[in-house]
Formats: sequence, structure tokens, C-alpha cells
Amino acid sequence: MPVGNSPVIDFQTPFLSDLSRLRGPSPAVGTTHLAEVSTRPGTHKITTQVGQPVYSVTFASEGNNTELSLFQALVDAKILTSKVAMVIDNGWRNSFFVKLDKMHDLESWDVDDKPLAKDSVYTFLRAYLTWKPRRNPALGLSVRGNLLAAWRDERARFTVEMLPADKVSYVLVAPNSDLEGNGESFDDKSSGTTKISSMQRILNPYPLASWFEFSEK
Amino acid sequence: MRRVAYNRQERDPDTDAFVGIFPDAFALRSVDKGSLSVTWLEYFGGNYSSNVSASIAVIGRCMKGSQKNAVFAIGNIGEIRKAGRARGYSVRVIYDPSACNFAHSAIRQIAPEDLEMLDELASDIFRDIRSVAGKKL
Repeated sequence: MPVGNSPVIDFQTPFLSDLSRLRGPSPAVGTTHLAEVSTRPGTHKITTQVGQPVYSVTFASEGNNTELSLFQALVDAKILTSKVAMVIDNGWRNSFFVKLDKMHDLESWDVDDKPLAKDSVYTFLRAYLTWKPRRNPALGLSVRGNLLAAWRDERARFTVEMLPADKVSYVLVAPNSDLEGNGESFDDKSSGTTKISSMQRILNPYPLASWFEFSEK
Repeated sequence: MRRVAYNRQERDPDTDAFVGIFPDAFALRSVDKGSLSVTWLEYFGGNYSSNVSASIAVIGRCMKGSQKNAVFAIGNIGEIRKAGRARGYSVRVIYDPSACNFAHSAIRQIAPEDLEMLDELASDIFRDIRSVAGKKL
């Protein structure tokens, strides 16, 4: 199922968990004004239409504040994820949100880094639903503000950067099984940029393809 | 030694335990101006363990923000050059002290667009990983 076609949004979990991190009155869920937040350097309003199919939250503020840009990136990512809530496991979604929170922790944030880009989250969700990984990936954030996902076992690894517009750049390392009988060891390495839909064809020659179920096209 | 922020670390998705380093830990940002920042351990002149501790301390002092959840990866310059040569790059490692970090060095011509090179740095060359307390991970 393509991501983003559902009108159902579960706003409450992502919003309440995020708003609790900021100063200001408790949000009144169900109203259009969720919170007025007093942060450096001024006052910022967060408005949305809870329960309505509105997918963006905007800070009515001037200036560029790291705390707010991290918050905005988190909210964007969580809203986008919530749009596909019906096709993803609740437990997975919650752990994804916890990981996003850790990745955007202000205390350990490097001011020269870029917060997570919404387009990258979109690609990640599309990839996740298309590739159907049998176990969850390790997640990270690239220098370009894109989501990184990695799977590995003792001998093989597969790392992907989720680029905008359904593209991914990948690098994989897998033992070359042809040489194993000779007592030699050699790793196949491959890297490149491709579309989500082409990844199965690229992975198929490698044993690590079994890490994914891949949805039918 | 290179500091690796939490976001460039592979962490177990269930336990958040450290698993490895993303290749992107060696990618260049625009602020890096074409060179990868590292700290030269031997500058401190002690044994390996004390050099590690001194390097972590000076990085912590010079970096903006908290070192919370950061790890420190140690690689051998000879291996970096060798990996570069094998891929056709003339990697240069230059002692480049800063006002804050007198052991600061720069790795140049590392071909940041070469994902396999970055993967090799992350998984095969910068193998000695230390916590902020200097403990081996």
C-alpha cells in the first residue's frame, strides 16, 4: 500500500510526548490551539487542527532556534509516520519515536548537524513497507539530515541512507561463498544509489537478501 | 581518534547498545572544509591508555555541547593511507593544531563520496572504540 493515502492520523501520542518537553501550558487536545510555548528567544505558537487531516505544524516565530528546528523535525517525522499507523505495528512505531527523540536530543546535538528531513522519513517508511525487514534496523542520521538504516550479522552488513524521492544510497559487504571451500576468505562489496523498488534485485544474489521478505510488486 | 556522535553510531534497535559506527561518521559536512577532523594520540607522549584519555579530554573541552552518548574511534594512519591507495586516492594526514586542540590533525582527500571507503574506515580501520570514560566498547 502506498504510504500517505490514509486520512487517519493518531496525533495524540507524538504531540503529547513532544509538547511535554517544552515549557508552557498543557495542550488541550481537540482544540486548534495546542500550546503557546515560551522558549528562547521569544514566544512561539504551535497550532494545528487535531482530528483534521492537516499534516503540518508551523511555528509562528522569527529567527532560527536549534531547539525549535529539532522539535519541528520531530513533529514532521511523527506526523508522517502516524499517517501509516494502520499498517505498522504499534510497538515498532513507539520504538521508532523513542529513537527519533534520542537522535534529536538537544543536550547531545551538534549544532553543525542537520535535523531529520521529512522527505527522508517518507522514503524510509516506503522502504520499510516495501522491503519488509525481518528485524528492525539500527537507525542514525546522516550529515545531510537523512535517515540511516543498517542491518548486520557477524559476517555481513547492509547500510542505507534514505534519500528524498524514493531513492536510497547503499553499501553492502557480504562474504563471497564461492571461496569458502578453499579456505580463503573474501568479501563482496557493493555500493550505489538506486530506487527503493530496485533494491530487491540488487540484494538477491547475496545471502543477506533473506533478511527481508519484500512485498509483492 | 575521531569523535562519533550518537547519531552516527549503530545501536541495537531493541537495547540501544552500541553495535558499530555508520560509514557516515567519516562523511564531510560543509563546515569541515574538505578535511576530516581527528586528534593525534601520540602527540600526548604517554602510553596508549593515557594518550586515549588525554585525547578524549581535549576533544571534550573543544567540542561545542555535551559529549553525552558520544564514542571515540581510533584508527591507524598507515591503514588509512593504505586503504586510500588501494582505491586510488592519495590520502593525506596533516598535523593541524588548533588554539583549543594542540593535537588536532586533518585527513584530506579521503573521497567522501566513496561509500565503500567510508564503510571500510568505519568497520575495518577505526576498530578501537572507546566510551567517553575511555572504556573499550
